[in-house]
Amino acid sequence: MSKAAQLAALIGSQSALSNRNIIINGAMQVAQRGTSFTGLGGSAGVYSLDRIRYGFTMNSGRFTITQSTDSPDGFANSLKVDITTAESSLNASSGAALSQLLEGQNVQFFAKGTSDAKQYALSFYVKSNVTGTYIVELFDNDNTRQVSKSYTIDSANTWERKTISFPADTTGAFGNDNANSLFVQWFLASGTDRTSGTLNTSWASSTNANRAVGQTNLFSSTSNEWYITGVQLEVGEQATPFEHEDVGTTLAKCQRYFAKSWSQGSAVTTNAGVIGAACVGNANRAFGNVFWPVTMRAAPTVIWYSGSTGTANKWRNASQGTDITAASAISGIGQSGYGFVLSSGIVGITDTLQGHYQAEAEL
Amino acid sequence: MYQNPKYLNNTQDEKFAIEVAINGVVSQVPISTDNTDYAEIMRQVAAGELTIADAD
Repeated sequence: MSKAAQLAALIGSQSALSNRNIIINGAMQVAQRGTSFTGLGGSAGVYSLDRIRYGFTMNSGRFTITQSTDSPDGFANSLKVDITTAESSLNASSGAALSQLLEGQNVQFFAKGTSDAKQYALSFYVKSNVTGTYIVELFDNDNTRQVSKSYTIDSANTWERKTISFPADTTGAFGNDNANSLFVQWFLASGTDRTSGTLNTSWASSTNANRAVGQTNLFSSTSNEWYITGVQLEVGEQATPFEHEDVGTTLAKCQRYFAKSWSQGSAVTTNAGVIGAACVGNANRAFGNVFWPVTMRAAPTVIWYSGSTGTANKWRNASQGTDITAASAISGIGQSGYGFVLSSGIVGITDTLQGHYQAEAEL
Repeated sequence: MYQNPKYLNNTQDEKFAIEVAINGVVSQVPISTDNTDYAEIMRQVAAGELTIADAD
């Protein structure tokens, strides 16, 4: 067997040749909610670019996330964090981190909690004007276990690729379901609540004080910025090159968690683009269905918007030139779509109704 | 985060969703334990922090 064949066999025995990356939107291409998110830091659980979640809260520090075109060669986009309000002296409970939550049924191949448990290889491109030590963690949400690793930004304002190996864990299996089992989380700052212990570099029951020890404070100045793209999490000891995929595939993966009726590139709450839903009036009642672009993770939380004014919780009766409150507009919300009955605000059988929606089924 | 929750009934007069303002935007949350908004609303209800009004 040739050396090339031996190498191919070795690689093939360690990981899949395609669909290796379980991170969705790792190239930061998809931004259905918009491309700029301001005033972040005061509330946890906020989503920005698709599948990217902000966790923890800062006492006074605030920041903006944007979809940036500053990226390493071979990429078109990155996620940019821009500090807008500094918190140079961190409150003990303050924290800022970006994460991606993963469904249990998508991480079964790590064989966590078994004697055949696999290692985790994380890789990403990062850039910041603030050099120093940063922390990234894997968190097992089913068993409240976690492991942290540090990485160093060596050169200011320079794209660097980081590859980090996390150990296998023979304790605590991931649930084989559609709930949040595993998340990867990049810290940007943390007060002593998560830094006062010893960094936990092996899987263990989560102890907050051990999660982010050594983390640089990105919020030390409003001049600070941090970029990330090319994120990949895969099975094995060794990170492989980033697995690029076509944007349509990435968008469909994202739509399992968030979908909207607007054209891509048109932000939610504007009235631009294609009207997402319409129905035909029948005397004083209208009926209709809307189907999500893909089957969603769970029945989503839905917000309707007037198809004309973009006002939330409204449908538009285009024939009458009025917005109708959408509260009475539904009869069922499911993973595949939405069935509705409108019984008020309909004047005639020729009335045309217009609406936009956003549907969210994030973890 | 969750304000003024109220059940929505379907045409069979069965509860199928909760209308609630999430961060100030009126949203419709399905009655599904897989939905994280529903799970959090019910946690707050169980903790006595939130009350869901009946449908109109």
